[in-house]
Amino acid sequence: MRRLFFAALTAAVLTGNLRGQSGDASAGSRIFATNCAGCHGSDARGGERAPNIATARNVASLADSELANFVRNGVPGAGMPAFGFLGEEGIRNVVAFLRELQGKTSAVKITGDDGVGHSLFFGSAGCSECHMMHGQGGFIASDLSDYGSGIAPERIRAAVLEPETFVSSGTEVVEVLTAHGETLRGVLRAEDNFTVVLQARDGRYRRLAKSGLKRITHTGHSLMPGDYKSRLSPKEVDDIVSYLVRSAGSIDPASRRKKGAGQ
Amino acid sequence: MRARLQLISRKVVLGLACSLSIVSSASAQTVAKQGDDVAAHAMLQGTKLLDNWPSYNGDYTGRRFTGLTQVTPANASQLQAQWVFHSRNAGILEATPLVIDGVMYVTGSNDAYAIDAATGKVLWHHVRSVTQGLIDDASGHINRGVALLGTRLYMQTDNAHLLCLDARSGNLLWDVSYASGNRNYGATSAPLVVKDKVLVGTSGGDDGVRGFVAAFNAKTGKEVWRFWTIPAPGEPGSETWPQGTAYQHGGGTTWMPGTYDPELNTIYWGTSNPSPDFDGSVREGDNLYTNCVLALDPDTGKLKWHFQFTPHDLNDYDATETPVLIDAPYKGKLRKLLIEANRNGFVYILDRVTGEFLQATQFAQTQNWAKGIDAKGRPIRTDLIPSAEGTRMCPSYAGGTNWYSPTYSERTRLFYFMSLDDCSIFKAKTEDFEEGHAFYSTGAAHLPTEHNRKYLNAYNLVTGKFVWRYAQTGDTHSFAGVLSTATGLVVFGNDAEEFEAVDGISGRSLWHFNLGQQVHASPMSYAVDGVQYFAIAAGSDLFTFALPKQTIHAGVQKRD
Repeated sequence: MRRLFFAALTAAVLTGNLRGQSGDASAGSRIFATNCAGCHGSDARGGERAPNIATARNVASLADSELANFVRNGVPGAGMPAFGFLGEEGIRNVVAFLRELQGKTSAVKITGDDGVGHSLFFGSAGCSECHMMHGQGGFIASDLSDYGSGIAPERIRAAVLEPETFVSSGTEVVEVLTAHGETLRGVLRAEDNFTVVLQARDGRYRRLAKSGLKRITHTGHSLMPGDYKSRLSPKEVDDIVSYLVRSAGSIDPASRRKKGAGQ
Repeated sequence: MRARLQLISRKVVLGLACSLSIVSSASAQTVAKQGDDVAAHAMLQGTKLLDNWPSYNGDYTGRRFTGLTQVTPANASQLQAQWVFHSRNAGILEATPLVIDGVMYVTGSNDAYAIDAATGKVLWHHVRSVTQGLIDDASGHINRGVALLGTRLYMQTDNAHLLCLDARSGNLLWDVSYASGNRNYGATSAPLVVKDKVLVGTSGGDDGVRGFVAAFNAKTGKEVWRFWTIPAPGEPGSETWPQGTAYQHGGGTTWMPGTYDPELNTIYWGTSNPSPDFDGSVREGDNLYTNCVLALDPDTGKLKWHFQFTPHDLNDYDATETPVLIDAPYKGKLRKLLIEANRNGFVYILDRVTGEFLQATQFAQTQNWAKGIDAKGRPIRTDLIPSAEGTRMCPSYAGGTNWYSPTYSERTRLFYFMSLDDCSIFKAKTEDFEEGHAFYSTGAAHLPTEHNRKYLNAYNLVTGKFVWRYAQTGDTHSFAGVLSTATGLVVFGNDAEEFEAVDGISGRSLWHFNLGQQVHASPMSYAVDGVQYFAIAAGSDLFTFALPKQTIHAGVQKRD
C-alpha cells in the first residue's frame, strides 16, 4: 500500500511537469457550470445524459490535449456537442477546472494508516459486507474502488459519519406494505408513477405495482449504518479514509500510453 | 415528484445486522428471482428457450428458436411497442440482450446495463469510457452483448479486454487484457460461457492481426488455453502459408460467439477472412484456418476438425456467420448437423461429429467467384480475382449474408436467414503491414448501377430448395437478424428500418413496426409475468413488443 502511494505521488509530480501551461481553473469552473454540468453533473461525476468524467480512469488518464479535443470537437454520435465556440482559452480553462475535479492539481494530506484501514474495511467496520473495493466485497452498496480519487478526505469522513446527508436515489431503502398486509424492504433501484423496483440483500429484484400497495415509505436512509460515530474512533475513520484514498491511487497517463502497455 | 404515500420517521439503524428482507410471497407482483445464481449451468445447457434467454443466441445451438407460444400467426397483427431503452452513449447498438428472471442485460459500446425487462427501467449501469486510438471495426466501439454464469456477467471491450462484473450490481470484479503484441486488435463480440470457462475472440481480421480463440477461468480470469487460428511455422496448417512472417498478420479473427454441443463436448467457432483482404499474392496457399468453422475441445482448445468454406479468400468472405447445430433427418437418417449460410453466397450442411461436408446450395442470386462447390465442399473458382484496375465480383464485400442471426424453426423445419444480393469492384495492391492502419491492400467499392437487394430466405435443408424468398425494400444497409417461434412465426429486422413478423410457412407478412433507425442487431424473445416479449436493438435504442393485455387475458381464458 505504501509503495503504491509513493508511486502515485511521483506520478502526480511528473504529470504536473508534463502538463506545462495550464488554464485558469476558476474561470473554467464558470464555463463548466453553464456548459457541462447540465449533462455531466456539477461535480463531473456523471449525470442523466453524460458519463462521469471526474473519476473515470479512462478520462482522467487522457492528456490535456486529448481532453481539449473532446471539448473542441465533441463526440459525434454519442450526444456530446462540440464546444469550439468557447475559444482556445475557454477550452484550456475548462480543462484546468476538470483537472481540479479529478483531484490532479492538489496534494492531499493523508494522516491515517491505510493498512489498518484495509483491515477495518474488510473486518470489524464491516464496510465490505456491502461495498466493494477492486472486485472484493459486497454488491448491495456502491463500488468504492475509485471513490477516493479526487475527493477531499473531509468529504469521505462526512460520508462515513453522517450518511443521512448522502442518500441519493438508487441508494435509499424503501419499505412497502402490500394489499395482503406484507411488509417488504429493499434498496430502491427504479421508480416511476406506477411501479417501484426494490433490490434485496441477496441481489433479488422485486417489481411492485404501486396500485397494489397500501403504503410506500421512502425511509430517507441508505443501508449505511448510522452509528459509525460511536463505533469507530476518529483515528479508525482516518485509517479507513486513508485506505480509500490510497488504494484508489492516481493514474499516470505516461505509463498508460506506453507502447504495448494496454494491448 | 416522488410519491411519498406515508413518510414515517422510522429511525432504523441499518447495518450489518439489519434485516433487509424481501419475503417471498405470491401476492406481490414478482419480477426477478435473482438470487445466488443468476445463470446456472443447467440453464445454459437447456435447449428449450422459454422465459429466459441466457446467452447470445439464446441457447448453445444457435437456432434462435423460442418455445414461447403466446404470439401466433393469428394474433401477431396486434403486437404493440412496450418500452424503449435509450443507451445515450453508444453509436449503434449491435447487441442481443440476455434476459434471466425478468432482468435484461445489454451492452452499448463499453457500457453494460441491467434493465427491468417488463418496464425498461435501468437497475444498474456499468460505465466505461470508449478507448481512443483504435482503428477500423474496433474504433466503432461495437459490442454484441454479455455472457452470464452464476452471479457473474462477462463482456468484451473495444480494446479486447475481458471484464467480469457482478451481475447484481454491475461492479467490476476483474479486467483482463487478452490481446497484445499488435495494437490493431479489438473486440466487438459477446463472450461464450462453456462449463467453467469464458471464451472470447477478437476483431482486426482486416487489420493484420493473428486471430485466436482464448478461454479464461470464469472465476479467476486466468487464461486456460488459446487456439491460434493462424498456425506458426512448423505447426499443422503452416504449409498453407508462405514462409516468413505473413502468418503474424494473417487475420482469421473470431469476432462472433461460437456454438456448443455439450454431448459431443465440442465448440464450433467461425473465423474471418485472411489479412490482407484483397491481395492474395503475398499469402499463396489456402491460408488455414481462415474462413473456417473450427471444431474445438472446450476444455483444452485442441482442434478436432475444421472445414474451410473459402480457401485463399480474396473478397472478405468471413466465415463468422452462426454455425447452427440441429439434429434432423438427413437423407433418411437422423444426423447431428451443422448448417451455416456463409458470406460467400452458399448455404452449407456439415456432419458436426466429423466435419464431413454433406451439401452446399447457392443462395446468392448473383454470384461469380465460384463455378460451384465440389463433392468435398471445396469451391471451384472462376478466374476472377481483385486487380489493380478493379474487378466486379459477387457477392459484395458485405457478403451474401453476414453476422446477423439466422434461425432454424423446429416447428416448420426450415432454416431462415437474411441475404444480400450485391456485387463490388474489388481492387488489390500490395502494401506493407503497419500497426495503426487497416490491412486491406486495397479496397472494394459499390457501383451505383448495381441492383442490390436484401432477401429473407426460407430454406428446406432436406430438399436443398428455397421454399420462399421475400424480397425486401430498402437501402440494403440493414444488418438485422432473424428469430423463429414455436408457433411458426418468423420475426426479423427488415431493410426499411422496421421490425416485421411473417408466417414461417408461407412467408406472408403479418405485422411491422417502424423503428425509425437502422437495425444492426438480431432479435430475441423472453417472457415476464406471463407476457411474451420480442426485443430488438435499432440505432442507439432497444425496443420491446408484446400483445395487448386484453388479448393475452382472452388467450388464457380460452385455454382454461
